[in-house]
Amino acid sequence: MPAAGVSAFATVILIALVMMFGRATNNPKLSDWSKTEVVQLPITVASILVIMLFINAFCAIDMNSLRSLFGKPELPPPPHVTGYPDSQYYNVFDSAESYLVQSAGFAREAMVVARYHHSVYNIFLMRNTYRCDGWCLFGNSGITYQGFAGYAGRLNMMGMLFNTALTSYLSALNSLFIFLFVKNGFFLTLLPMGIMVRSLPFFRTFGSVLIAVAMSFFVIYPATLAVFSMMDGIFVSPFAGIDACGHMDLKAYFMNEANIYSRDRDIPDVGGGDLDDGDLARVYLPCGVDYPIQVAQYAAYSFIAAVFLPTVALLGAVASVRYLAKMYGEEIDLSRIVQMV
Amino acid sequence: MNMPKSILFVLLCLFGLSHAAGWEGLAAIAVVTSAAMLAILYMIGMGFGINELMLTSKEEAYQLIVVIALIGGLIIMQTGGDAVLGVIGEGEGIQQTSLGMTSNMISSLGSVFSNLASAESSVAVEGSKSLACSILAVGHSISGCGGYSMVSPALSSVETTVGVAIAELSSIYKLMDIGIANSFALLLPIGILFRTFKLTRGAGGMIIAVAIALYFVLPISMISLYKIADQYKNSDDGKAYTGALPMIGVQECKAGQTADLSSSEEAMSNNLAGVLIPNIEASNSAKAISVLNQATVAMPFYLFPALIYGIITPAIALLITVASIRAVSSMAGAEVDVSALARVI
Repeated sequence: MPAAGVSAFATVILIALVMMFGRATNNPKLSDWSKTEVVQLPITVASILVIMLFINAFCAIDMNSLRSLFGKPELPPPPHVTGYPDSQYYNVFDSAESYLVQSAGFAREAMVVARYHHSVYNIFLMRNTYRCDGWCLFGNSGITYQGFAGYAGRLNMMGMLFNTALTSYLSALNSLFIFLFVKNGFFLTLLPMGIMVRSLPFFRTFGSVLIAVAMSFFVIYPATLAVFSMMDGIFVSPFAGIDACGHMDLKAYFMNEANIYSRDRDIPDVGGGDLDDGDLARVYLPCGVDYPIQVAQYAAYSFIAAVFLPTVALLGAVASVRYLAKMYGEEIDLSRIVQMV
Repeated sequence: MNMPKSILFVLLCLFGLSHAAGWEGLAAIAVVTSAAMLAILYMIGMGFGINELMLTSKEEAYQLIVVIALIGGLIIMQTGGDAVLGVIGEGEGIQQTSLGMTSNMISSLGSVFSNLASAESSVAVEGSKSLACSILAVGHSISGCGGYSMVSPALSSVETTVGVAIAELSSIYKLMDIGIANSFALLLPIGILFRTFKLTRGAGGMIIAVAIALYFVLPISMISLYKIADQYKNSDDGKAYTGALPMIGVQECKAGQTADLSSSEEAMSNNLAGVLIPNIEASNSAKAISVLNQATVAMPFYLFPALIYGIITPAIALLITVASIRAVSSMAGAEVDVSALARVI
């Protein structure tokens, strides 16, 4: 804000100097320009005041109080949120950041669950069973087969779901980085620059766009994300409520990636005992049952949480840029920016 | 008390009533809040003789009237939709009916997936068989079951398609679920409030549009498209590919049998018309061909629900929804380029 204030003050000085110079040299063009800019300056200053109002409001609003107004349960104390280590409550910016962090975490969970199934199917598919037909004293004679050959389709499906979850994860990170970039400097540079540039001859359009972009991304984007953070039912695991042989928390079972390797130790020595296919399945899966449908749902849910909703928020910000620029009397073409979304 | 806290205080007072209200009540509270803010602005303008402030308040009041008309339209749409569904025997209301239909379809596709997985498993295991024989470090290994291995990838592709359909339908279900739970309880009131301020009007219009699209347009689209798909399914064209899922019977492959028995009498037998047909008890090739024939006959039955109910229907519903976001947000004062969302589809 001091930078914006200095910038506004510098603009006033510039207008005054041009006015004086115009009068001194009897140049009506310069005098007219100064008069026009004097009218535009209050609009710019009003923009700064409005932004200050929003920033104060966004920092003062306790999202947990707002949640309770809508009958939603309170959030736990905020995790370590970048830049706000001592924060005891969620304000609008914390809440927006928290939503994006949660969506990235949710997409990562979907990736891990898909990867777990992918690994298990790979282990299954690599298994060859040899059945001796009874003439194995000095040599051997028998049938070799893959008892889990039928998992090839599910293996392909897991690859696809993993890619979907990965896309969601990367998209969530992209949105998070955009948000952090906006929060940490983007606004502080664009707003003063916009105020200054708006007063320069032939640069009003450019200045308006800079102010509109700064306001939209600093106000609208976090506000929309904070609204989404209050929505119920987004980060619900599809494994919730499934009882698989006493493994009530299937998500934790699949999320424990270290287990898949430690379980190798549980496989009996093939030479020392008769390990059938069912035994092998039970080593890696609760009761030998896999959950491809739930993994598909996990990937789908993560797509909605990490791609669809953040995209809506970004589009809202872009729409707002267009609207605000129009408010400042400028028409801008944002089709290129939208293509970046 | 500074300005932001004063605004928040007014909101807190009004939204305190929200626990007891349905979405119509919440929308009414949001409209009243917006009207109160505009009245305050108008009074300040009148008190200090600021004509611009009075004009702005009047202009915003027109916008509020547009929102009230929009809410009226929504109430009519909800009532009308529920009445139509009541007539056709779906009395649970638009939102619950669409959720129920989608959930049932996900379960149904889950059964299709299980049947396919079971069939693929049987075929793939037979296709993986080989015979090995060795004595005193000399031996051979042969597989007479290669014919089966051509069927397994085909079934695998269908299985992946069904998996995609389940994922797509699940994403639509999730979108409807969170939309129904939050659109009018959260998004609409906040959208109306955002729309009150000029600075946030674009975002407010967009949030209102998203709320309407998720609460009305998506469920109505899904119900309508399901009904159309049902009609297609029950028509003469559809009946050829629907009904009970055909089972794919897999005969055991004899891994050591590689001889071509197709011309021998053992491999062929007479049918009732006296025509020679493959005797599947004898030839691995004939057994594999039989499995492939069964699979090709069965595939349309497996693919029909996946493609029609699981992929095409949600894709069209999502297209309609995204298009409606653009139309409604434009009506609400924000021109939103939704081409990025359309690319998601």
